[in-house]
This record gives sequence, C-alpha cells and structure tokens, in this order.
Amino acid sequence: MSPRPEFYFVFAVTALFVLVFLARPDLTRQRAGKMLAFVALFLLPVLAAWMGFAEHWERSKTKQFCLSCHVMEPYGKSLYVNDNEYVPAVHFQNNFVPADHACYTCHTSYALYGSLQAKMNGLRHLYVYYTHSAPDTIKLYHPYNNRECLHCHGESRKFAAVDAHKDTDTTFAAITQGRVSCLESGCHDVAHEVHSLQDVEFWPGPQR
Amino acid sequence: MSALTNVERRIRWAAVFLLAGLVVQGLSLLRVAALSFVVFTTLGLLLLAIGAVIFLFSLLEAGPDDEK
Repeated sequence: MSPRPEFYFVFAVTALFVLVFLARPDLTRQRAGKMLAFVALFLLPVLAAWMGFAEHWERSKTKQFCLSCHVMEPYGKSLYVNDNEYVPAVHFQNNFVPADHACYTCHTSYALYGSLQAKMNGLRHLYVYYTHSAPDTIKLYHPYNNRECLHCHGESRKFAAVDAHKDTDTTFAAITQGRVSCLESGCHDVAHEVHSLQDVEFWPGPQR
Repeated sequence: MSALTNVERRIRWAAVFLLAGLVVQGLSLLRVAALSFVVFTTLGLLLLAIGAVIFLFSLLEAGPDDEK
C-alpha cells in the first residue's frame, strides 16, 4: 500500500525547500527569502504532516494494520475457517465486509465518534502490547452491540425474511433495540474462537 | 556567505528538526504496521512541531528591525 502521488509531491517539495534553508539560512535576509521561509519551514511542513497523518489514519483501518501485532494473528487466521457458523469468517470470505477493512468494519462503532474511539482504544492496545504482555484471551470492552450488525443487515430484505427475527410480535423490535443480542442469544454466537483453531478446516483463499 | 546571525542559526536548527521529522514520516510510511503509526504520531509529528515552533520563534526574535 503506497501513499497517493500528491503526497510524494508535497513531501519531496517540502524536503527540497527545507534543505535549501538548511544550507542557506542567510536567504532570509531579503524580504522574499523571509516569505519563502515561511512557506518552506511552516506551511509546507504542516501540509506534509497533515497528509502523512491522513495516510496513516486510512492505513489504520486495514486488516494488514490490525494483524501487524503478533497477538492478533489467530484472529486473522480465524477469517479463513471453512465453516459457515463462524460469523467473522463467513462475512470475510463472502465479501459481506470489505476484505481489506474486515476488522475495522465490524469492530468500529457506527456512532458519532466511533472511528476516533477505535483509534484511542488502538493506542491503548499498543501501549499494553509494548509495555506488558497481551492477555491470553482478548475480550471486547462492551458486549457486542447489535447496532454494528444492523448497520448493514438492519434494512435488508434477507434479514427481515428470516423467521427467527420475527418469532413474536416483539422479537424484531427487541433485536433492533439491542434487548436481544445477535451474538449472545445463541443464534450467531460463533465468532473468532481462536482457542479452537487447531481443530478446524481452513479455506485456502480465493483461487486466482 | 558572511557569519550567521542568531536568527539564521535558529532557522538552520528549525530546518534540521523539520528534515528529521520528514525522514521519520517517510520511513514510517514504508510499512503498514501499528508501530509505524505510533512512530509517526509521536516522534515524526513531534520533530515537525519542534521545527515549526523554532522557526516561528525566530520570526519573533527577528522583529521588524531585522528588515532594515
């Protein structure tokens, strides 16, 4: 994954101008030099930093980023389990979620500050990863919110057509209001199951 | 090139920090990894910010008289 071309351009131009003022700071003795210095040593670096941050921000949503921590490897592996009962695997293998953003799509809250909250949690995870040993079993901060499932499924015809989703007059409302959990009510309760991966079969991946 | 003034020395230091920040930023973008993100947000942005602040302080120090 490489940055966009305009990033390279801004980065190269900034580095070039900074080098000029590193070699010849006396250029600022003239008014034009002062103005150029303001562009080269303030505006362009701010722009480069912003573009770099935006690039890192986008990259942090990728599966490759999440799986770059050793502790997450089994979770990545679980996406290839050849069993339709495994909710993350069936979503990943059938492109129900974007394959390169699989972790982020399901594990980011779709509330207003969901993306920011995910980043703050990520920084906390990194702190724990590099300063302590990561826990053997990784748990969610909160029970998985139906909102994240319903973000895609909620209005879909397929979801509405499932008899179990409208078992009684109140079932549908209970699901959509989160009173009945999609994952913990015994219906879709097989998630990553990383401790039993040695007993399962794996999908080899798309054959190209 | 005549001897550098205090302001010019500061500008040179600003350029050193900015260049170091850009190098860190460039290196951090070579790999898609959590550690790259941390290196960029801590070290890279810090170096760029220090460089920019040193430059802005040099402007304050220079003042209007410096243009004469």
